[in-house]
Amino acid sequence: MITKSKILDFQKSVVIAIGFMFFTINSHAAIEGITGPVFDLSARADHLSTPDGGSVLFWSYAETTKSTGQYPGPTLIVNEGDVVTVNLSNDLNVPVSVIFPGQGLVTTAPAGINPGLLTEEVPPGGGPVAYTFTAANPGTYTYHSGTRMELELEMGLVGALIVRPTIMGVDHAYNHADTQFDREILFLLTEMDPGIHLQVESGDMDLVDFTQRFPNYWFINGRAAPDTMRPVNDALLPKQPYNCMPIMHPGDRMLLRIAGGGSDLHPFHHHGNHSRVIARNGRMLSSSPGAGADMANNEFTIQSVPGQTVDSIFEWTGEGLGWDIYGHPTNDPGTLLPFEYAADHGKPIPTLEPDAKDLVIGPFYSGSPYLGSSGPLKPGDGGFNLNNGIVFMWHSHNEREMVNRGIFPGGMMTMLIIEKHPDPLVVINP
Amino acid sequence: MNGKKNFKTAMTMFALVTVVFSMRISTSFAAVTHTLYWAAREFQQTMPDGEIVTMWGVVQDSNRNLKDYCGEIPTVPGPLINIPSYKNRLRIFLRNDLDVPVSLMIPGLKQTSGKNPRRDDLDSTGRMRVTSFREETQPHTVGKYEWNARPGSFIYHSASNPAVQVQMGLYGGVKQDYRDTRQAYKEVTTRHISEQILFFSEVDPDLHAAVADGSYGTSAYPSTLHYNPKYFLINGGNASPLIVGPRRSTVLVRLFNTGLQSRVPTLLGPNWDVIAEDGYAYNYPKKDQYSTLLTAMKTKDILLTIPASAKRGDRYPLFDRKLGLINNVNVDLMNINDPESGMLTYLEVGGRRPENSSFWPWGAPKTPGSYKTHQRRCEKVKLK
Repeated sequence: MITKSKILDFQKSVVIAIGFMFFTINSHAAIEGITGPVFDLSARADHLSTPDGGSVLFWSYAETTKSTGQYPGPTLIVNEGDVVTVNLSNDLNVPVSVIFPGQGLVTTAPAGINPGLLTEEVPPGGGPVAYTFTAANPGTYTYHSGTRMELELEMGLVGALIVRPTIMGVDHAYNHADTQFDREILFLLTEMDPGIHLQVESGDMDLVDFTQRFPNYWFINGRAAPDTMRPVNDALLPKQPYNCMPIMHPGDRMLLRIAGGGSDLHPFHHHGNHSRVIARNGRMLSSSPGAGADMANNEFTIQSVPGQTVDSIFEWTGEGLGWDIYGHPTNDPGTLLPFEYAADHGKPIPTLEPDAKDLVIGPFYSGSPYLGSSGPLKPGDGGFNLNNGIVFMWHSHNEREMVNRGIFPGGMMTMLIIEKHPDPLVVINP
Repeated sequence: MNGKKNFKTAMTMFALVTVVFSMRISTSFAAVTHTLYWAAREFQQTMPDGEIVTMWGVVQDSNRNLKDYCGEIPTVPGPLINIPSYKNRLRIFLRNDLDVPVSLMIPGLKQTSGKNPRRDDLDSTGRMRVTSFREETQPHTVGKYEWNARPGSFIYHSASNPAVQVQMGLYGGVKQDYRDTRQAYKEVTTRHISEQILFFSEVDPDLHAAVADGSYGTSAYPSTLHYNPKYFLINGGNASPLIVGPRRSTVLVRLFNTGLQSRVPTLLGPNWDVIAEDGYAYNYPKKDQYSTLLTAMKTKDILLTIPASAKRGDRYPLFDRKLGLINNVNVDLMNINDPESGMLTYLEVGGRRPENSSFWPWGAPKTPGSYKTHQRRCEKVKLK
């Protein structure tokens, strides 16, 4: 006989089954990218996918060996002191180039054949032109076109550059212990005005009026929410390989590398806690050499300026909430979990939990307010939080930027999931 | 009897001595004033794409008497006020040749004369509206404004109907070094060999046209609500490359933004130190940076050391990363190698001998007290 509980069981298992089709184990704590120090890139046109069903023409740098374009350009990861060479070819019908703000003097080979306003250019269909510089300082940077920037940056010719410190190693942002991290995540923030892309696609690129630019798509690492939460190299998003899915345990030091890749400012707000800004534009906030990040300050909304970068350390343990995030019973003598805030051990949540039937909840609630615990969910609720973590929305606080062409949720937004020690970190993707 | 007289004498002596001493004290704070004679006028300016736009600007009166007009053409930005280090006060006599009241303010400098706002429009509850932040100078009259000076970079601009008048062009820069031997601030001990000024500004030609033909404020063009700049300028036009010192030398770059939008000056090549903001030196300069955020009405000061490997004529591009890079140009016609492109310029390495590098493209005097005299036909000005 088919009972109500059997139906519920079936529905729950269906949700879990669908969930398991998409989960990904985030085993590496490092940023996706390609290592050099010699890179072969091509400026290409292709189409990207937005969650409102949009398909937008873009231009960007892609690895020459790939058959398609990719947005944004690949994240270049090099070591301090590397002599970096980018060999740029041009598959577009406009001249392109690449500049590296903050990397000092760049030499090109050839030089002087196609001089642009900022640097040597690659003519349409031409290349490769070799751009060479020494990555002398660790940090987070961007690279982008230096040709007709108001057009080519809008179209997407931008990417991130990460220089790892050699003395302190890859789990540090700079050569000082203050910059140690357990996991890192890149936020390359960009915008697009789809009307301009349509004009370019129609052959009217020379008629675009940039004073009327009005973005309607916003991206983190090339994806608009909720696609930001899909896996890396997702088969449904072949031109947008990177995601932005921050996930951590309590007590982890997560390094946020926030890079302004577009031409608008964005107030990047990470719910859950302040973060400690340790560097700007690839330079530690240091009072004097060797002092480390002693000039660091706490912020909960990070101003992202076009072309500039901010490095900030985010931590979370539940300290300050005033109740036991694991739901230990009062007077529980048990041992503390890793990084558990001792003073709150056993403290009850200071409210009555409403009945599940009185709540409308989204897909990220586990059914219980306690970290690592689940609770009853109505059919259709939950499902995106398999390890019963605590979820915070991370987003541009310019609220208009959290939509895809006016549809919420979307745009410059993702979720932080904090999962209980020592479970392996699992994330289920919408 | 004698006692009383003696007391009186003593008191008189005491009073005299007190007066003498207080006079001595006051002379050590004597004001040394930098005085300017300006006129605010309307004029036509040719934009980089060839369009002619009506502007309002200030210009120095060559006779320094404000009684006649000798053909001086205003500039936007207006003349750079360069206050010598030994002077501690600034005074401007302003003759208003426009048909609307104007005024002057300098955010960051304490104003001591002409500072009271104008209040108007008494409403039924007894409140009044501020219609000018500073005392107005009525059309065809002369006003006086005074400030206490201090080292730094500042912006002067009209304080009357600023939404219109600042955009029309009534603004310019003020600077004072801590020591005239090229030390910008007391806290910044590195001296600079050369100096450059970088003024970022915007022009919305539709607003200027509405003001010029009288339709501003009517239903045809009611307000500045649809302000939309089309021109993005450095130093009021297309800046030719700005000459800085030779290799290994230090240049001071003063940044000003009189537009309404933020700008992000970004330098390719060497990195700079941002040493001051709004005329105050940082306790800890922001060292080794390639970019800085310049919001509306902000000033920032930068020290840049030219690399040892630089050769004379080397150019480092300096551009706005917020991409105010097109000057109302039909891009179809734009020659990619012709720098009509908005907020883009170059810092060019100069020669061995220190060049006179305070290059102000509009010819405003760099040194105090020198006025260009175009003594052609001078017409007497009719003042109210």
